[in-house]
Amino acid sequence: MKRYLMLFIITLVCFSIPAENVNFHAILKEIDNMTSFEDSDLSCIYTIVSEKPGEDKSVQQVRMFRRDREDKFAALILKPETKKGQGYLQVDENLWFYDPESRKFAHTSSKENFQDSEAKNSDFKSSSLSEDYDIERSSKGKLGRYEVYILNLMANNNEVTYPRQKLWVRKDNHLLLKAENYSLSERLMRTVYYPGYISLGKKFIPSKILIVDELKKGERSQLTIKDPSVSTLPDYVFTKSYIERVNR
Amino acid sequence: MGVILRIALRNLKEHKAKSLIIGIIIALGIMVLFIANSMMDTASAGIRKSFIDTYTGDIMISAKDKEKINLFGKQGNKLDPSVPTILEYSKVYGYVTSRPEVASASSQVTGIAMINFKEEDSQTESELLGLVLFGIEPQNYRSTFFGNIEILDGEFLKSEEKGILLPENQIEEIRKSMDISLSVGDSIVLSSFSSSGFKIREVPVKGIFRFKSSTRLLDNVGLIDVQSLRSLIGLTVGTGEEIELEEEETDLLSSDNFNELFTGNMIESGAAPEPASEESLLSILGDTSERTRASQVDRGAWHFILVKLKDSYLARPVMDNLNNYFIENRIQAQAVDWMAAAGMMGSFAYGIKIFINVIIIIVAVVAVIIIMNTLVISVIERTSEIGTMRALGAQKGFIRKMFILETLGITVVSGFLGIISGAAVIGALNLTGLKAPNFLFEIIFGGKVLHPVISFPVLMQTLCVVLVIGIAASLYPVAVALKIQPVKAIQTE
Repeated sequence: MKRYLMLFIITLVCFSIPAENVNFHAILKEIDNMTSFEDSDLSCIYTIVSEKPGEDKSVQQVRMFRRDREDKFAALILKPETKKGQGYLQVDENLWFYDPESRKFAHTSSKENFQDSEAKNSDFKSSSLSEDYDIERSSKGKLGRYEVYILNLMANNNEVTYPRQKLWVRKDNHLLLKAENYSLSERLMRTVYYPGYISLGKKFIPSKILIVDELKKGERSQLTIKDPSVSTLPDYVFTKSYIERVNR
Repeated sequence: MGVILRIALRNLKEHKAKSLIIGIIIALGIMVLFIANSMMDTASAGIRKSFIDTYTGDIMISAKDKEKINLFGKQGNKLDPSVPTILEYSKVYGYVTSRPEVASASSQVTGIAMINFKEEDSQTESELLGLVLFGIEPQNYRSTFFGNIEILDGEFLKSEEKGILLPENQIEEIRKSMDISLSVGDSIVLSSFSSSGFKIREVPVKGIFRFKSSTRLLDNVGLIDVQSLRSLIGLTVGTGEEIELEEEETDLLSSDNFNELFTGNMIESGAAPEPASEESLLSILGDTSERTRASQVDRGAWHFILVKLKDSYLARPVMDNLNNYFIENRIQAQAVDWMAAAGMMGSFAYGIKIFINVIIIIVAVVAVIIIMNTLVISVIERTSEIGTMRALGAQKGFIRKMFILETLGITVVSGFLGIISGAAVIGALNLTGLKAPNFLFEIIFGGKVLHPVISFPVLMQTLCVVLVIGIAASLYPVAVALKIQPVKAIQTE
């Protein structure tokens, strides 16, 4: 009788714990979906403040235009005066940089740093985590006051800026809070914090980003995003002629 | 003395086989010593040639900075082009060139740029090639360094003319890796990043050159007119402007406890979308006149003044004089020697030179010990002969002189033979040249091929070594043999 009672209790206990069967790939897809603006355009102003030991803070203000459904973006530097009008244009696989002084475009790479900040050019593109990475491991944890999933990702192609990433994703709404970017040899290159988001309908854009360079001690950049708008932009904004024209 | 000399020569003849063996050992030792010294002497001159005469000058003047500055940027593990420019340049240049010890001076700007080979509208992968650029004023550069540059195609830069001279090796590298044939008259697009952001400049290729005395380090160096380089690396009149920031735009930078970033409410609502008007999109930059003013090239901006002296041995006192002048006049500049100018390569070359010298000293000491040991044994073997001679009435001085003459005779003759054979080997190496197998040896040799030459100081040095060995190797064993009683010495086997 005792044996049957024990078996009953164990069965009861087992069934009372809900098995957490989380689809982490779906979470990555949700992150991409929440932060990509496929149904509209996006424009906003980035203020990028970078500090390096022994140097004055470097400040840049950038007007950003994004059309995620066509994988395009255009960026124009508004401040400082010496860099005013320098621009970036991404169309499909091509990323150009524009120098208003020589009125010339030159190819650059999305893996390069954005000006002298810790941000990479790829940080301004829409998120494609679910396409570019496979999940290696997952665990649970806490970041600040939020319960998080911790996902270890490995890139499935060579186009990405970082071959390995570790993400801290909020459990309740799947917003990305923190990302550690690693090299292929698993060396930590930088850590990115997303402590704030602006909601634009069902979509989200980070309101603040902190990027800490893990290789160069003391080098970090804060990106503050303001005036986001999802209103439709004219097609010409995503062309070279627009970047040339505003510089005339 | 004649009698002693005759006896000494007769003794050498008597011990033919022994004399021959000792002679061969001495000759070989001296030959090795002579060859090693000559090669090092040539290499030392080569190191000087590949640095001072090629691109550093005897003295380099730069702005004073917390970090060490060399011709390629700040000292570190990578090329860092963020070198400050020399303040009060005209005053510094005027004082430097007024010094009577100064033969010539060439001012320079250093920068790093990428050559962009991809057409603007091309869909292919980006083709970029990194290049270190020395921005020069052609006339001064010509008078200071031109002797060590060979123009293979085209012509040298002209004053106030826009253009670039590309190194022969890079042209070859571009042809091999990208299948692009660059030639004189073509234009290349250079891009560079500085505190003024990205800059793109198109410059015509005026010539293809090589440094006559080059190491692989210089294979990647191009010469460009200084105005183009200044404009490319942002040496402009514009100064850093103060941009007002709100507190919320910098609040995260001071954060150390990153967990605290995630304690508040994270989400705020965005405003309703406002359609962007065409006018606002086209006037997005506003007034750009300040940019036009700020981006004008600063014609007085120079990173370095490279000074060639009439006599390189005066480098230290001239350097001290210049540094005192800078301190007295409160000029934030400094004068350093060629080694500091060459950066890590200079220190590396100097370190290797010291290391090789230590090895040569060790080789020399070992060779001398072997030679002396052979001579000492040959004298000790003749202790009974010394005893017999003394028993027959020979004075100590007589015996000492006889042995010194014997040893000197064999040492000098063998030494000369060693020097002659060493000279023959060096002559052969001079004709064929000794190719550096790798970058390390290029530094040791001071170039890609070493053509060793015999120098008079090395010859004299080796002759002195021969004489010292001869005298020292006979004095001690003879003195020992002479201390022994003749009766006992006779009995020694």
